[in-house]
Amino acid sequence: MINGINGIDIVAGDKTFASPAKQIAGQGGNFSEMLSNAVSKISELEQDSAAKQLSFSRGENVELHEVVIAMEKASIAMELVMALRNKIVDAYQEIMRMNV
Amino acid sequence: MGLFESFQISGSALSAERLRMDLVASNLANANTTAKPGEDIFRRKLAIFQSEPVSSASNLTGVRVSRIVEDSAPPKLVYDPSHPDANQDGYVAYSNVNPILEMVDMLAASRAYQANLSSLETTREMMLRALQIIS
Repeated sequence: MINGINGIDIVAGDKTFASPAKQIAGQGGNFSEMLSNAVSKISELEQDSAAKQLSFSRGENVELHEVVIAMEKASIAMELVMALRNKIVDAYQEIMRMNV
Repeated sequence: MGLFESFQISGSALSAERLRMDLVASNLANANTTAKPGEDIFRRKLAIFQSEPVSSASNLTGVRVSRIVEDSAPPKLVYDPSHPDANQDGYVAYSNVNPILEMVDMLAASRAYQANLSSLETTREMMLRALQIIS
């Protein structure tokens, strides 16, 4: 997920408008790849969180704060990707509404 | 620097303080433990903290309990000839736990836990604030 965000950073830092797509490709991924990376990372965090919750409720040797931190990690990652997705969909719709 | 490194740092400190609190509980529980003549008494246990890098790629350090040491202070001798654990002179060897010291340690552990929780909370708030930029 972090690499995906860094990819955007490279594009934003590119002052010339010469083929930003190529810039992203140079970073090793296009938009859909970035999104699927982000989603798989979130899924990883969610699974970790669920596993910790389960073992805590089974009474295994897991500290309560570890469970809460895992839940919080998953939630923050989810919110970050949702915010990015909303922003990108907004931009897409803005372009679709453009009069030609 | 990873996104969740500060979570790991605070988490390591929370675990360390929990262990310290467990040791305080164990010390307090055994404050009145006696030992038979010739046997070793229960000794006050103390957690030694040591800093530890959170990951190999980072120079940020969390904390861990490197070892648990025992207090070498002498046992508390109480004159009580009727006690089954009394020696020939009538003295009973109690553990070397000082409950007052343990209460202070307990308070320190609890406050340190709170401090690390609030640093965790602030980190989380900073992340959510940053997200508000784009929403």
